[in-house]
Amino acid sequence: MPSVVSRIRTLWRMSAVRQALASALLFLVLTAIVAAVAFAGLRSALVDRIDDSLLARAEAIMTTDEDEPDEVAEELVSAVINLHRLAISQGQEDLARPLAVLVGNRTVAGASLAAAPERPGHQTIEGLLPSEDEAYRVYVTDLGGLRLIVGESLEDTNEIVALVAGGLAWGGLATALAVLLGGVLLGLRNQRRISAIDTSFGLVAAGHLQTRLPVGQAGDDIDRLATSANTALGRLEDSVVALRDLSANIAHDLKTPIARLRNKLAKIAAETPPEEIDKIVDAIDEADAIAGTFDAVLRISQIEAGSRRDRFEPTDLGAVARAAVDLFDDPSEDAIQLQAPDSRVVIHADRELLIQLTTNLIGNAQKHGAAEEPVEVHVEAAPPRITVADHGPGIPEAERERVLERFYRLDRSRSTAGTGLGLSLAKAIANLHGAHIALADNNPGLKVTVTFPDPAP
Amino acid sequence: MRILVVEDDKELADFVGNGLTEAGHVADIFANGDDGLAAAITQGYDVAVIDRMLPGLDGLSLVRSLRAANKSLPVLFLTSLSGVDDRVEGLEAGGDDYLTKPFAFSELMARLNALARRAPLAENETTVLESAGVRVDLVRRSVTRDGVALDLNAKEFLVLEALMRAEGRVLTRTMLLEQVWEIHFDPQTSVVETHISRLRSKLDKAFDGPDLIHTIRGAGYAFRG
Repeated sequence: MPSVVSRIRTLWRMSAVRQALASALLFLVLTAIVAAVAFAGLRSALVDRIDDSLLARAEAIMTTDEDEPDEVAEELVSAVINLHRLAISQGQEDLARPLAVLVGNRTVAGASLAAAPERPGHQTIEGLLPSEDEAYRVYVTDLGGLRLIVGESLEDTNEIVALVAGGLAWGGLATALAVLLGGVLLGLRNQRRISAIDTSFGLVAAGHLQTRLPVGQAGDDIDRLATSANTALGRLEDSVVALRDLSANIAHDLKTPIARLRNKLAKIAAETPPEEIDKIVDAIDEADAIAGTFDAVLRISQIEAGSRRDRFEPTDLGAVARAAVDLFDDPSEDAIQLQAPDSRVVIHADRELLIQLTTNLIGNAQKHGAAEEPVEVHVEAAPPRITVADHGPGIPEAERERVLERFYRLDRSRSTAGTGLGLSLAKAIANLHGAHIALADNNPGLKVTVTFPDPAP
Repeated sequence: MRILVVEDDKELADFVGNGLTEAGHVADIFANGDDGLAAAITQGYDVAVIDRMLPGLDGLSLVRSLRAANKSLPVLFLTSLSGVDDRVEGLEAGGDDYLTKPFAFSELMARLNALARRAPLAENETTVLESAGVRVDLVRRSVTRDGVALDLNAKEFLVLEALMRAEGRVLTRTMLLEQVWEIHFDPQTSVVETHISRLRSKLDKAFDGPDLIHTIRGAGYAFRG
């Protein structure tokens, strides 16, 4: 069972999921903006209504026929007191408070206040009443030396606003989740088609050029993509087949003259007196070397064509390494040291090619390594891996990629024997097996690591 | 031996034909697949050398037809291409051995000899090889010469076994690599020469009798009493 983390990673890699996530996020942001605007609008609308009501109540109280300020004041005070009593007697305490008349900061009638408003008009005061820290919306007028305060608690208003805001927030979140889920589910349907295309391309990359992508019935952009890709794959397959035939034909054309050359030399050798035969033998060796180089190039092309993958069989890396080391005939283990696990390390592979790969690497290591130091060969099981290390001058980091190219030789090696094909053959073999070759510094020296994919469970 | 050669490259065909004749064999040469197939079916040969690429009927098809006609004539394929891929293809078509061009004539001769000598008795039934005073016990993995035991390691034993089974005939370096080390590529090491050299010192130099392991210059090695 794949872990939760790996599951999430798989989901994250799907474009459908990312799209759904982006939609949900966008929706959330938009909802938040709308909510904020609505929130502010609602609040100010509610407060406006309260302000109007406060103003009306204040004016209702201040209706009087009297002109004299003292009498107006007296009426005001008694009005407030009466209203107070009336309200309380009727159990309508909301109307009763706060309603206050102040002289300076001192309450003359009505509720006693903890905080005094500074200026006339509409305003919000927190902690207006003692023993409460509610916010109050008040309307204040001055009348001579008296100050009338009409107020209303904002508690209910705040509750309403909070309710609305909360509702919007939860609703928005729920909808966003629904958008995300819906988007993912819809997208996964498409994702299956994309994954099928991905799998098909994987097969192509692995060398099965006859693979074609599945084309559905939808006629949408994915189907058009698949159709176009199939056309391209058809051309690719034709090109590769033509190239393969081309290589084979070139091989036939070029090897025949070399074969003739060699035969002619052999004839001459048969007619040459023994004292002079060495020169002819040298010439024959050169012809063989040319043919050998050609063979190697052909072999690399053949391996790259990928058809040998069909002949893979379960192969033990330990046995491969031992067979390769055997070819160097070092019974005392002075020149080559092999370390392999006791149990078999089995992968699906071409035994002969792997032996050739390992032999190549060991040969290289011996050629370029330090003479007194042994070459080390390691076989590991998890992941399946073969490592060959020497203690020679190594390869400068800048050239490590290039040495895997055909015919590439380091400047210092140009005079030594060899074609420069060994490592590129190794790379072709590694690629055929889906393995990765890494060149690293062995401090000093070169360490070549070939890591194979984990065998399927 | 009577040898059938089907090769369209005239120079190569002459080269092979002359070499075979000089070695004391009779060689019939055909330049296209159809004629070659007709000859193989109607006449008796000990072994055949067939090029994979031929005008008319190609080499693989020729051999397939041959096998379909129940002809067990041993066939060695010649080709320009290299790589086990084609060898397996050739073997699956019914061929018995494979040689890539260019090749040394001695290599061809050694392999043709090996193919022609398909003993009716199964070689697997032999448990002991004996010749010229040397006794190889294949079950016990032990070797004696004139009754004296030899201490050989695994690969040395296999080399001696291969040489003795092919007694009198030449085994080339390539053939030894295939039979003893089971590889079909050149490892660019002197492993074969080293083993022959050690085998010599244990088998020949340590004893008074004649040398049994011979180097045939330009060809390979042979066990001869």
